[in-house]
Formats: sequence, structure tokens, C-alpha cells
Amino acid sequence: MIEGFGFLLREVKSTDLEQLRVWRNRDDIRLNMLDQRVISSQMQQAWYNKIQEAKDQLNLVISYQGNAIGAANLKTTADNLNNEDLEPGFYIGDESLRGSMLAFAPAILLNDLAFERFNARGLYAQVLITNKAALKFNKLLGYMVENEDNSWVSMKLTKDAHERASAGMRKILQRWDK
Amino acid sequence: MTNIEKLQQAFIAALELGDDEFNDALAYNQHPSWDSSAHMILVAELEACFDIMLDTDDIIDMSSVAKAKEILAKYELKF
Repeated sequence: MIEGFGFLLREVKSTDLEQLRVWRNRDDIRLNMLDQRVISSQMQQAWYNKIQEAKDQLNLVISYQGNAIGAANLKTTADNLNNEDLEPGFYIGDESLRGSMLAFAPAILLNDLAFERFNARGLYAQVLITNKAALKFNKLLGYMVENEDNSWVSMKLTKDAHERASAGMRKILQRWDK
Repeated sequence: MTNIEKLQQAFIAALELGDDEFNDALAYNQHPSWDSSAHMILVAELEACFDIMLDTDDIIDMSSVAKAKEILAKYELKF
């Protein structure tokens, strides 16, 4: 689907489901999500069946050096992803890369995909106000705060801001392009 | 400006540290400010301050101030 910096973002396969579910249900991942339910095998399978035909979302596995290390997605409230406002999301499940600077690589690739492949008008993120690391991470990616309440911060990324903010990081991350 | 002053300045800028927080024991993921974002900024700051290009292994291994000095010594920088 898209690759760079030693990472590949590819479509989800049925053989990925159990690993994704294990990561998704971990408290350190689940509790930063809008939907914080624990996902059963049946729910996971139902989700997989649904995304096979879905045009309003793209669900991907993040792979690093050939191994699945996390998940990413693009969603819209419109009928399909083309030329719309999109909401990207991703998490790193692999412990060796969680909290690593290399997490910027799949984030930049996902944003590239949104702007280049789907011609997104803008990217929007809802971040828990207590998730300071994610807020800082998104700001470094170029996101600007649009609104905040007692629980959530709404952020927006434009294509120009994405290109400006990612330029310096690409120079560093390109060293992993081998 | 000496190399140690440049190093201190890079850490303070990247991690938003107070002047008294910079010391050899300062370590990645132990100080609340030294996370993935701060590490990215730190790498950019160090490369700009010292006009170097760090190897991938050195970027990942730079897990404390003491380790940063050790790594930067490989780039012919003395502290």
C-alpha cells in the first residue's frame, strides 16, 4: 500500500486478526481510544467482515522489517475516502518500538497516503487531553489545536502543514530506507 | 560556545528542561519529557549544533546524556 523508512503499511489479512486484537485490548492502547471496549474474537471477526466492503475506512497493518508491529487506519464520515476530511489513527503494539522515535515513520506514511492517494482536504484527530505524549506527537507532525473541552482535544492537519512539519523528520528517517 | 554548552543547549531545547535538570544520568523514558517527540527534536538539534549526521544505531542508542557524549565522541567531538 505504502512504504518508506523501513516500514510498510499494508492491508489487514485474516491471519493478523488475533495479534491486532491482543494489542488493541491492552490497557495502554485501549484506554487512549474513543471506543474503549474490550474486543472479543467474535467482535474482531465481525469488524474484519465489515471492513472487507467498507469504502469509508481503510485499515492497515504496520510492518517494520517484515514483522507486524501495529495498526493504522483512515476513516471518514462521508461515503468514501476520496477528497474528504479524514481521521487517521494508529498505534504501535510491538514493545520494542512503542515510545520510539521511529513511530513517526508510519505516522508520516499514513498522512502521505491520506493526502497523496486520497487527496484528503484535511486530517482530524481527537486526542484525550490527558494523553500529553500524543498531543506533543501530533503537534510535531504539524497538527494545530482547533478545540478542546475537559476530556478531548480536536486537532487538524493541513497538507501544507504536513509537508512543512515532516520535511526535517524525513531527512532523519530516510536513513532507515535500506 | 563549548561542546558541553552546545550539548546542554540541545537537550534543554528538545526536552524543555530546566537548567538544573541537565546531567549525565538524564535518561530516555525516565525523564517525563524525554519521549519519542523529544528524541526526534533532540536528534535534529544535535545534528544542527554539531554539523554532523548521526547513524541509525547511534540515534536509537542515545538513551542518556552520558551515552550521548560517548556517541558524539565517535564524531570527533570532545566533552
